[in-house]
Amino acid sequence: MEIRKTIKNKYYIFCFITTAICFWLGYILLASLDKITNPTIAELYNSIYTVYTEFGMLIFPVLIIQTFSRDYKNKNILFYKVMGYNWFQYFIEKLIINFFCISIPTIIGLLIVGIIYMDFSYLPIMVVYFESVICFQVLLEGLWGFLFKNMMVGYMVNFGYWLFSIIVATADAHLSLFARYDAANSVYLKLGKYFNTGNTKYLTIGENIGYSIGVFGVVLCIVYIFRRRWEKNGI
Amino acid sequence: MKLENYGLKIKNNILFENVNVLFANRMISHILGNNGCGKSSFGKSCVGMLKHEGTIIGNHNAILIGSSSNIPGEFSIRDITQLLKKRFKHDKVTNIYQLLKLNLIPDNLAIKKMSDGQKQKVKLYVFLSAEVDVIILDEFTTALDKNSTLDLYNFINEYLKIFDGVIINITHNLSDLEYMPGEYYYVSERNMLKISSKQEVIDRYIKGK
Repeated sequence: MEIRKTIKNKYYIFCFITTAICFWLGYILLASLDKITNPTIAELYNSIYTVYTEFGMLIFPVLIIQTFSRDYKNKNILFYKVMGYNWFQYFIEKLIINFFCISIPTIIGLLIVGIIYMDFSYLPIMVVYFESVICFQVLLEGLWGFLFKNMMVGYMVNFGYWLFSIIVATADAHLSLFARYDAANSVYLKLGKYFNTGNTKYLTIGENIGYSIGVFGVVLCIVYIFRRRWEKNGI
Repeated sequence: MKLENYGLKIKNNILFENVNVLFANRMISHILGNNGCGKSSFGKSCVGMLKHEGTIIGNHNAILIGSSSNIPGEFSIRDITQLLKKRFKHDKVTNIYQLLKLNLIPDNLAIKKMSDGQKQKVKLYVFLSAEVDVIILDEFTTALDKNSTLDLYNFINEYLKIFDGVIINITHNLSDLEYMPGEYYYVSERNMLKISSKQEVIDRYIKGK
């Protein structure tokens, strides 16, 4: 049902456009800030990755949170219940739809960059890194979307979390897990070293997957605790 | 459906206290009362959306059709029919589709582009296709034009012939009483009183007593 709904309301088009803007920003930032108009593929991938990790926390929540708030605002939750959904199924389907709607254009974008440079050596690693970032953002912003009826409240809470996570991660390295993919964090710095040296020892793919599973568990626990909000927000 | 020592309190506002009512099967029970007396809150409590005191017997399969229950606007009747047939009995879905005369609405028209009357029909189509024993209609003819309202009255009267359950109609629209015969209840002073005649409930409603 969610797939049908996503096709009908053309949500995927907004995701494609947003993703395209992120890729375009990745190039523009290189050209304008770093004065690199003919970047190498590593520089371009790194710049686009920076856009996802930094601006992604401001851009993607608009898309993700509205998939929940629209249902709440339009009082659609009773319909979902009649169609056999419960809070869990609803939340998981929203996560999956959002994940794929952002992931597919991202992978296509990464592939196009590979085709332009005719270099696919970075592609598998980039796909894993971008997917990790998308997974984190979909989980986090899906949580705000589920909890808050008002989209602006959800967005502002996300913005507050983003600021908080950067501050605590900068203040104490042990708290960097709150902003694992931020540019000030070791994951980002190590990826930069990988681009410079080509040495795969700087990659943190296993840790990223573990982190995603951990965040999923935490988010699911919070959603479970506040599961009654699903009906309260949307009926 | 039966209320036993039913009570309802929202924050510090006591809406109902020690109410005992038996709603008859195969009958429309109209509930009237002033704004703010607790009619809609009563409907919500019957479907578990609000906590209440006392007991409501026979509300396990109750459904509330009102402003708090809408169908996603991007779907069309064709989409809805496919979804309903996956989940509920084909015969029942088809029967309600025909009773509502939904074939008169283009089946690829998005719900958000439909008129209010058509939207109400689609809402009934969805919620009545489910296995329900108690149907609570909350202001379901409000803001509809006369023709759409008459269509809905005809449907409810026809549906009642095949539905072995309780229909509760929370309303301010007195023509509901005219076109859909049934039993009458009036909410006043934290109680729900059964009124013996249509004229008496109309008089009470008009005088606000």
